[in-house]
Order: sequence, then structure tokens, then C-alpha cells
Amino acid sequence: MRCRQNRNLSAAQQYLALRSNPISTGHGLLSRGQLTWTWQATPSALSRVYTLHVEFKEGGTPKVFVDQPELLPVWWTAS
Amino acid sequence: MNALAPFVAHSDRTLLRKNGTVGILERLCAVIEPTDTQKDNAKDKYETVGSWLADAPQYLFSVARISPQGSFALGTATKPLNGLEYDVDLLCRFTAFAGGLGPADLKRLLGDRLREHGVYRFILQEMPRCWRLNFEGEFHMDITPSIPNAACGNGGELVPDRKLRAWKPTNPSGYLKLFEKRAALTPVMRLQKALAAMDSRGAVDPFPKHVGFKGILRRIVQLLKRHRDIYFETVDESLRPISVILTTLAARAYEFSVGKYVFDSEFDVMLAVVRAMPYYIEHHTQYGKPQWYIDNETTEGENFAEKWNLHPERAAAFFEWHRQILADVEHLATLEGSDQVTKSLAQAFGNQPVNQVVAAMAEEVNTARQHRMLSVAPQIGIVTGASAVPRATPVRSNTFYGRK
Repeated sequence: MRCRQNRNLSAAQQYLALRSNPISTGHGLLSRGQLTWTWQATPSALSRVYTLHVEFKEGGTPKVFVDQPELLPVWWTAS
Repeated sequence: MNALAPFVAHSDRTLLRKNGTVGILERLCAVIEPTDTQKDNAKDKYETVGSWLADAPQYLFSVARISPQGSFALGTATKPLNGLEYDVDLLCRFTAFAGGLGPADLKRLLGDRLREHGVYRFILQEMPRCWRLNFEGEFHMDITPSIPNAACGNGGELVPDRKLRAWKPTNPSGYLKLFEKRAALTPVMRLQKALAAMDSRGAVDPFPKHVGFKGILRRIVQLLKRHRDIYFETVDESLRPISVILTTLAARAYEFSVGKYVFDSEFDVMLAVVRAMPYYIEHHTQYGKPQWYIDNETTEGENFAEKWNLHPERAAAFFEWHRQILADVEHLATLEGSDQVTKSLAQAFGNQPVNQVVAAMAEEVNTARQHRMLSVAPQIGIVTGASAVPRATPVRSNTFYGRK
């Protein structure tokens, strides 16, 4: 029996996956083995709307950024 | 182009948020109401008291009936603040024949019978119009004698006035029936939920049993009472509007709102009810003095707001409180962020129960994550359990690498 190898997805494949997944509806750019994707997420019905973007370069690990709201002020209002 | 396609349309998001808030409020009500054990305990003790009275050698008791009234009967009881005991109200209904004794003598007769009991004699306390059994650390049971009110065609009763000189009209069973009829009304909206059923049996009226979702009206009344308790903790407790006023105004406003409007959410029902409550308070001026009326619609001559006419500051305090709860509920609908919602709820309904609810919800998410039952669904967000939400994406177990 042959084991399936955990093959890394290319930036184009990641891009398509993000574009087709309804939980990450947004927009992005794909060029030369790297992508950026921006979308909005709401973790629960009562949560704020978070604007996020992910940057990914083939061979690296994805970096995810919270663009809005700024997390520090949110933390302060919660405490 | 920098405009993002909105994840959910604004109106849908508002609806989701309102439904999320209702979810927390529903859980909050479950926390602030007596537990099933406390209800069962109260029911057992009430039935035992009923049997003890029914077994009395005097003929008057053998034909008397004892039945619950007040918030326990209505299903709107809430835990008192500061660890105070619950109040379970009972009515000991004698026949018209007992009316010949007069209110003071009938009350004395009831007290004498309770005092004959080996346990009750030590926990019995005389109150102006009734007898109180103090079940320490649990609740106290107020037992008021009554006789039929021949002038009331609606099955009303007469109870002693505070000075035990005359009879006052009341009608707990008629009030309960009317409240249940109103509570059974279902608002026209997208989500509809079943209401609790009542059973009935025997001569000792069954202790009311409410199962499952209690219905919106009962939940609204519980939230009103809780908000009132928190509000008047820092004002003057003697000005606190009595529960029957809140219950009556809410029930009438609910009947009106449900018949007139179509709602998007249960939250909107609550808001409509809170808004409409003051419209059911009648106000006249007599000899230059304001006179307030909140009539018991099920009998003649019972004005729940009669004390407002002796203490007008109580009426003013009601309207101040009403302004506050309306502002609080309206504010809730505008909040974004579960931290903001939690903070506002804690201010309005108390820190302890709100924190308890939020902690339980967080624990559910953690448990679902551990059991791989956590998903994210478009337009909804986190979904726990093996629910059949279409297009939900399972959330993988969190490794929490960032903590190491």
C-alpha cells in the first residue's frame, strides 16, 4: 500500500480554495507563487466584524493579519 | 477596488445579533429562576401543607382548597438578590360559609391549625394579612385565607385587608388563566417556539409545572423583574414596583403587540412589550391629586397601583425605571462585540448570572472543539454540536502552539 504524501498546495491552489470557500468570501491577488487574500469574518452572531488578510508565499508559512478592528482597543473595552 | 463583499447583509447581521442576544437572555432566565430541585421542593412542601389543612377535624378545612398564586403559579419566579429566600404564595380558599367569621377570625383559625403541626409551629410567623412558614435557607410560604366573592362573576375571591377589618377583592385563579391565555399567544415571526403546557389534577391544585421553553411572555416578565431588582438595589428599595404591576403591564402589552405587529425576532417582541407597558397605566386627577390605576381585569375593585396613590414617589420611580430598562434594551440591539454585549447585560441584569452564562457558553465551545464538533458556517459563525448546518466547515483541534 502506498502512503499518501502530504503535498504542499501551491499559491494558486490556495487561492482557489479561499475563493470557493463560503466562509472566506473576499478578494485577493495572485502573482508569481504568492497570494494575498482579504476577507471579513464574524466568529459568532454577537461578535464584531473582523477584516483579515492573509499573505502566503510558496515554500513559506501563511501570515494572517487582523486589519480591523485594532485588537488592543477591543481588549481594553472588554476589561 | 477596496470594497469587500459584505459577509452578511447589514439587516441579516442585525437579526443574527438580536437572535444571539435572545439566546443569552434565554440562558440568563434559566439561571435566575428557581432550579427544578427548588421547584420540586416547594411543590412537595405546598402539597404537604395542603394535606395538613385538609385533614383538620373542622368542617371548614375539609371543604377548603389550597392553591398557589403569584410568580410560582405564573412561572415567572426569579431568584431574589443577596441570597434572600423565595416567596411562595398560597391561597387557602374557604367556602362562603366561612365568611361569617370575618377576616380576623378566619385568619386566626388558619393560624391555629398550622400551629398544631409539630414542625410548622416553630417556623410559623404572623404577617398582616397571612401566615408565613419560613423554610430556612429555602423559601418562605405565605398562606392567605380567602372566601368566594359572590359579587365577582369571574370566580374571584375576597382576602383580608391589611387591618383585618374588611375583605378585599382579588382573583388569583382568574388572573392565572388570563395570563396563560396571553402567554400562549405566539408572535408572527420567522422563528416560532413551543410553549410550556400545564397539567391539572386533584382537589389540591397541582403545583404549576412549566417544561422546556417557557414562552416569550414569561421570559420577558422574568427579565423585567430581574432588571428592576438590580436597578432598585442602588436606588430606594421601598420604591420598587411590585411584581404584579410588571407582570400585568407586560402581559397586556404582549397581547397588544402580538396582535398588531409582525416581528423579525424575539428580541423585537421584548422591545415592543417594554415600550408599550406604560400605555396600560390609567391616570386621573382627583381633587388636584394624581390617581393611578392598574386594574386587575379579572375582578372588580382591585387596583394594583393603589399604593402609588398614597406614595406618588412610587409612580415616579416606576417611570424612571421604565426609561432605564427601555434604554438598556434598545442599547443592546445596537452593540457589536460579545464583550460589549456581556458588559451591558451584566450592568442591566447583574454580573453573577451573566458571567455564569458566558462561561458556560465558552465551555461549550471548548468541549465541542475537543470532541471535534465545532464548525464554522457561512453567515452564522461558530456552530457547536453535530448540527446539520449546510456548508459548515469543521474546525480542527487547536494545538495552541503559540502558548509554548
